[in-house]
Amino acid sequence: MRRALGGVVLAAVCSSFAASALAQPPSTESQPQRGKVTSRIQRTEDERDRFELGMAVPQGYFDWLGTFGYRRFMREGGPLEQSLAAEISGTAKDYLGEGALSVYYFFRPIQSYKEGWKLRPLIEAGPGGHVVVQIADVEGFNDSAFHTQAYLKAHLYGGFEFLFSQKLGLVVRGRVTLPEDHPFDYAQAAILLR
Amino acid sequence: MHSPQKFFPGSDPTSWDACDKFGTPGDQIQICASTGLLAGQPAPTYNIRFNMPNAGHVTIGVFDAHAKLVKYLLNDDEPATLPGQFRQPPVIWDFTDSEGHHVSAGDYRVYFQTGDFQSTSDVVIE
Repeated sequence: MRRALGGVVLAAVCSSFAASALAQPPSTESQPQRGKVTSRIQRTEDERDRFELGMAVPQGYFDWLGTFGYRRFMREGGPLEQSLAAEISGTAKDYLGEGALSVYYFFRPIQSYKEGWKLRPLIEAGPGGHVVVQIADVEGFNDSAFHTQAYLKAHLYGGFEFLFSQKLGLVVRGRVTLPEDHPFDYAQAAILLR
Repeated sequence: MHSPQKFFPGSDPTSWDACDKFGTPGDQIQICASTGLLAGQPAPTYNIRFNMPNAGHVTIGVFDAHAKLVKYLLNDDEPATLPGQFRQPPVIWDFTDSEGHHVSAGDYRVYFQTGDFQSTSDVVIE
């Protein structure tokens, strides 16, 4: 009885080994070095796009700025996460109105936060191109004056993000812009949706 | 960014220096302007002369380069002028704002409007 049981176990082990050998032919690819990390965490498709609806307090003539932005995460390899963002903004005060279209390319240190954190510090920098249109109502006359200008600036953002859920969060940040008369040129709070 | 831009004179500077006539014959408005010292004025002023073929409301206003209103020089009903004659006295701008303060050097635009007619002239203060 004991010899028969041993034979069954031996046959099962041999069968399993043979099946394993058949299912996994010898690979011709180079094997990863022992201890080297070959996988990386990437954003899911849902996490790559996000929208930001916010308000900002800018330096200068205007008291407030309404903003709507779209951001696409482009690349996560290396020490800097990269993203492309487009933002439209608008404001008005007294006789003057302003609208702007901005496009940014941001670099954010990947070590500055971890995916599991709900409250994340935000530090990112990059160039921004802006097309700004101002419209002035010529008071008392049936006329409006227009002025359009394009700028290329460098920006540094600092603040934090708070994620209520995977889809909803809040971002609060300040911006330094160069060249600019007032380098700390705006503070913004925005709801982010993704 | 986020500061008022310079709207005037822009790419289309205008001037009343040449005493241009506007409108159709028989219904023409002529506007002339120049800087000079008028009798009774302590300093040179910007003097605007115009005729009115028909009575109507006239508004003349000065705006700074950022299109912000500096001062209304005239905002009143005006009678028709006699043929070939300008309104008397001319409308003057003494280079002050609505509070009586002298304006700073820079570009300014003067608007003239009566009925559907509108014209502008740029003034540079150095």
